[in-house]
Amino acid sequence: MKLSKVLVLVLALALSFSFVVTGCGQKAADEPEPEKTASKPVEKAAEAEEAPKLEPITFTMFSGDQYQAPSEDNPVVQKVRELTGVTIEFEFLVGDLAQKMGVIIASGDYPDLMNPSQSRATAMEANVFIPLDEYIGTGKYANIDSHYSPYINKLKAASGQDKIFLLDSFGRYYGNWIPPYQNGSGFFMQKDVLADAGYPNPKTLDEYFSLIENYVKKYPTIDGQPTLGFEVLSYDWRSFCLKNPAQHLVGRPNDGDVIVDPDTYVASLYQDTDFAKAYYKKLNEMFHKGVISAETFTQNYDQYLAKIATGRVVAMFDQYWNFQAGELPLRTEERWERTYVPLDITYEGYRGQYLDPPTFTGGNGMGITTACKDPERALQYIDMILTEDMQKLLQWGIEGVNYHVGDDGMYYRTDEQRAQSRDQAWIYDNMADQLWNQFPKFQGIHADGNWCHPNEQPGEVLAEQSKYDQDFLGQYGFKLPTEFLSPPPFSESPAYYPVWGYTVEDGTDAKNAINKITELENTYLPRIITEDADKFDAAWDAYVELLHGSGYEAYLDFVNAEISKRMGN
Amino acid sequence: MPESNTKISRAVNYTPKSKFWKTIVGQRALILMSLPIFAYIYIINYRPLKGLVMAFQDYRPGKAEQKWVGFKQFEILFSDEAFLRVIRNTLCMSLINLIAGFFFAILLAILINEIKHIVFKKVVQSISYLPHFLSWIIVTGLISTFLSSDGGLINDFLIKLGLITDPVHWLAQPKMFWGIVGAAHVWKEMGWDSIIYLAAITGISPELYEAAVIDGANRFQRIRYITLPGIKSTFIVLLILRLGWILNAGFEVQFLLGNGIVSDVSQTIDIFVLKNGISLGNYSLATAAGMFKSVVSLIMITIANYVSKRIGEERLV
Amino acid sequence: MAKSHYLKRSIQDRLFDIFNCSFMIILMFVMVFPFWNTIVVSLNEAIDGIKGNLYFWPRVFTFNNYTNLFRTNTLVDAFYVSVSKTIIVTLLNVFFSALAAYILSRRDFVLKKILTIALVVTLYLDVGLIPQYFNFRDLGLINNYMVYIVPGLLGALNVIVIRTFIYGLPESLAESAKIDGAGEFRIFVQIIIPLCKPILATVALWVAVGAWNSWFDTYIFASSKQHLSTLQYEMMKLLSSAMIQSGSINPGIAATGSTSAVTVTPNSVRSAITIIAALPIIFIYPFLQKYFVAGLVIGGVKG
Repeated sequence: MKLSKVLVLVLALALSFSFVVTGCGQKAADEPEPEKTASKPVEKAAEAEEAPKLEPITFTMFSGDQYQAPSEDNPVVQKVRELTGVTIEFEFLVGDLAQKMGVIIASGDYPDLMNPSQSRATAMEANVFIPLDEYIGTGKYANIDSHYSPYINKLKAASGQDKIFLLDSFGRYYGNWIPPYQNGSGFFMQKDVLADAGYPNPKTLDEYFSLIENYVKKYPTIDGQPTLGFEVLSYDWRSFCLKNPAQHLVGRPNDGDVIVDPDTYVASLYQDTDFAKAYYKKLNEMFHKGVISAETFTQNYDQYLAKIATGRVVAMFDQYWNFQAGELPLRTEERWERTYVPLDITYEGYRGQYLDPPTFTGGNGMGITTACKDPERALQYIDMILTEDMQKLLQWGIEGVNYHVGDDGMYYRTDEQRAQSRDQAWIYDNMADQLWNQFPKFQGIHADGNWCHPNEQPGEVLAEQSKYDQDFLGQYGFKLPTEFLSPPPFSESPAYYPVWGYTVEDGTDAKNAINKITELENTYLPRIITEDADKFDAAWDAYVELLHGSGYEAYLDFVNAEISKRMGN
Repeated sequence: MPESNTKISRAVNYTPKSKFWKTIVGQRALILMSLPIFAYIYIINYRPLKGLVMAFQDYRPGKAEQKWVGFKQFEILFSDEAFLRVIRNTLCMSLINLIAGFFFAILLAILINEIKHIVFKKVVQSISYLPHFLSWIIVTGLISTFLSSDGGLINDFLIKLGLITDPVHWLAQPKMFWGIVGAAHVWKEMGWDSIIYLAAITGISPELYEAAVIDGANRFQRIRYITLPGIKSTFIVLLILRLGWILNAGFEVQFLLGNGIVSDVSQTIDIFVLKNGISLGNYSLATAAGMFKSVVSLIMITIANYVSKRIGEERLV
Repeated sequence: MAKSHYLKRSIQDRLFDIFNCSFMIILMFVMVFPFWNTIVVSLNEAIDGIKGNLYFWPRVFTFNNYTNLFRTNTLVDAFYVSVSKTIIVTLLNVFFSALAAYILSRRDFVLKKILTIALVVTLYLDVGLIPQYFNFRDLGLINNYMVYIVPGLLGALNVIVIRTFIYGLPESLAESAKIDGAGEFRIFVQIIIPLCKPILATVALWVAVGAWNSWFDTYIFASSKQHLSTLQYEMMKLLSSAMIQSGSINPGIAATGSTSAVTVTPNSVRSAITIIAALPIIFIYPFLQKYFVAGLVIGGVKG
């Protein structure tokens, strides 16, 4: 009898808790509803006037990128919703991508739309997406058709199954686009080094490093702290700063771990070549001269940015987007002489190819999953946003509010609007950044001469240039810093480009090989650079031997097969 | 009631069978109370174990049919020289963390307990666990800053003392890496880990201390003969459990503090699995590695429990 | 009385106190520093913070990093979910762990060995995320508030630790209760629980901190339901997008600009998040602390 009391008590406790719990859950579940219903009538009213056919629909979307969804009440998002009837419910990646995608794919609990980002191989292999081949080219979605018509083969190649699974969101350029600034790779140098040396325009690696060396000797400290000659960020996946330079020195663009012969389109490894060796030999020499500090190989990303932000890093090889956060404090403090320009550095006799022409990769986009509640409607939505008006709304915003139209028909922003466009919090509340970022979009120049994105509009670029920069560039007769670099040799990248954008399927020999190569490079290159000068050759040979034993051929075979697939078509 | 029952039954010398039933009946309340616990841990912890078959497959998420590959994943692990190296690294860092972790947590608990001023005592105790709330990325960020050869506090300090003339590249020294990781662990967790010992100390009867004072025992004697024995059983139990995690040295610290130069000593099993398994979409490899770790864990705690039993100490089972 | 004791204290005793106090003061500095530094970073202007070298005081003071976090209205709802799940799971876990510990503390209990083994083994099982997801889905826990509660009802480590504490209690108390005819459950509730306060407070702290700080459960098992989002998960979302913002997605912004493109950086967000997450625990800590920092020695000596 005591026992039964015990049981009753335990049960009662458990039950009461579960009531509390479900009660909470229930209440929470109900909470968002009122808001939704409150906002819906407004939408409906608006739709009734403009497009009565479009039933409101909500698509869920998972993105393997780490962004923040625009706030629901922001005016541009609302306008897009009014025009299309579609609400996108974003979920962005927070933790590890492979982990999250593994669970999503394995469970089959897909959202309606998905941008698999770097997990695209896993997702496509598991047939998460519906093939879009039967929809595209039918004329039903005219805007999608015309947007992708030059690149259908690239879209198919990206899936590895000769089907279109993903609609690439990037790289579809309109008009005669040339990059207005260098966001990618380069040997960067502080403007003051050039100014101090009388505005030379170095072209070779030796000239570049002798400028650095002289400057460090002349100014051993900057603002009381030791001057840092040349930084080589080697942290985690950002080690491309360590690995990539050699290919550029022989005038090739960034193909990641391989170099592709421009005539035969055959890929080969370059980390084992003499020109790579010569580069690391130079770094070794600079290390022993104190131009490079060993600290550079142990620092983390934050420390790297911090060094740049103090203005005492003279030069580095990097991609601009990777270090621009470090340059920001220099800009806010208007220490323009401590900011950087990219230089066209190569070995003697080569032409630099740092600026990429328009490049369409094919796989960096969004797919419609097999769980999508209405694939045709989803395609219709994409079709609707691929118009000039819609793209202007998504990228420039609302006329009169976010930009103005000049007498010549060119768009411009006021200083206030420019300042707003730099404030992420403001963007979140007022612009539809993730709608244009995640979905297929126009890049380049519209037919009316306006650039697709305000930050590329020449008038806007020049309007934001500082006095120092104008004078500095004026010394060279330049208007834009990209004029330091050779213009792109083609009006469009060759079909195979870039190799780093290829999807290497998980579990394949090629994937294991590239993984191993990366590991070897990350491990041994810092050791080689910091090795005693007389042991350099031995260390290099040991490293090359390891590379050759890494099974890299599997990766090259894969790359070459992919290249011929892309070039053949 | 059950205990006295068994005693009586032994005395009366029932047959074994009826004795057994007598015990069951006598302990029916305990048995019934334990049944939901069995059910619960089965559902939550043991039921998903069937997923371990993944270790013998080339598991691809989203596929209805999985390819069976036998022990391939284990072969991948153990044929890789690097895996043996990461086992060594994991074991060494884990042991350093274990020994230093226990030592400093207990030391701190005892020293806090010896503080007489009650407010000071509480303040010290509250502050000591604060680093626990900082993520590894913050803690390693601070460590990198302190150890930097480019104006780091530690180098500045040593140079000012005249102990070194040039800054030391602490994080580029393979010899130092395990020590740095161990020190980081102690810094972050010693206050938090000491809480359980402080709780155990409060369980010691105050009369024991009073009696010791009257007998003229000094501080060290009281610590030696009262406090330490009072927390011994907690220590032993935690030690046995901790030995089971000997292959868990974590991955965040090593990942965040590691670099190419020290990677031979910095990589742990978890980093290896992340790099060669999960991030390549090879979930099976991760499962196989997890299984290997579980087996080692169970062997370790069985041995530890047995040894503890043999030397007459507290044990788990 | 106290004074005479004081006079009797040996030199050794005093040296010990002096040494101990000095050690503790140094230790306090070492332990408080990282936390203080995190506060400093969280109160420093984000762009300026990129320059590093922040130690004891903010260089450019601002509350922006905090106001930025609370700009979104999702945080308040998420806060309630976090609080409710933490309270519920802590109470239930402590109760059930203590109950299991009590059962296992009965040295003659027939199922003791097998139950102990079954529990301890759970500490070392690593089934991986995917099987765990399938299990939770079979149990109907996906996108359900219960996913915060059900998996956390019992902790094997907690059980073992409480059991060890119960072993250390004077057995006479439970014995005499039994002789008085009290049932198992009554002994547990009326005698064991009050005596175990120090260890239960410790376990409660463990569970509460774990539940409060977890975001991974939301992320994997409940991420598609906004009303189930927790404070930690919302903050992780902000942090993760801050990481991208500072390495901007948009090539143009900072390349052309005169002033900053970002108002927060990963470090500034992370620091602010850490402080916000830690504050509630630090706030309730003194209420738990009295159970395990009792000052028994002093009480004893002073009489």
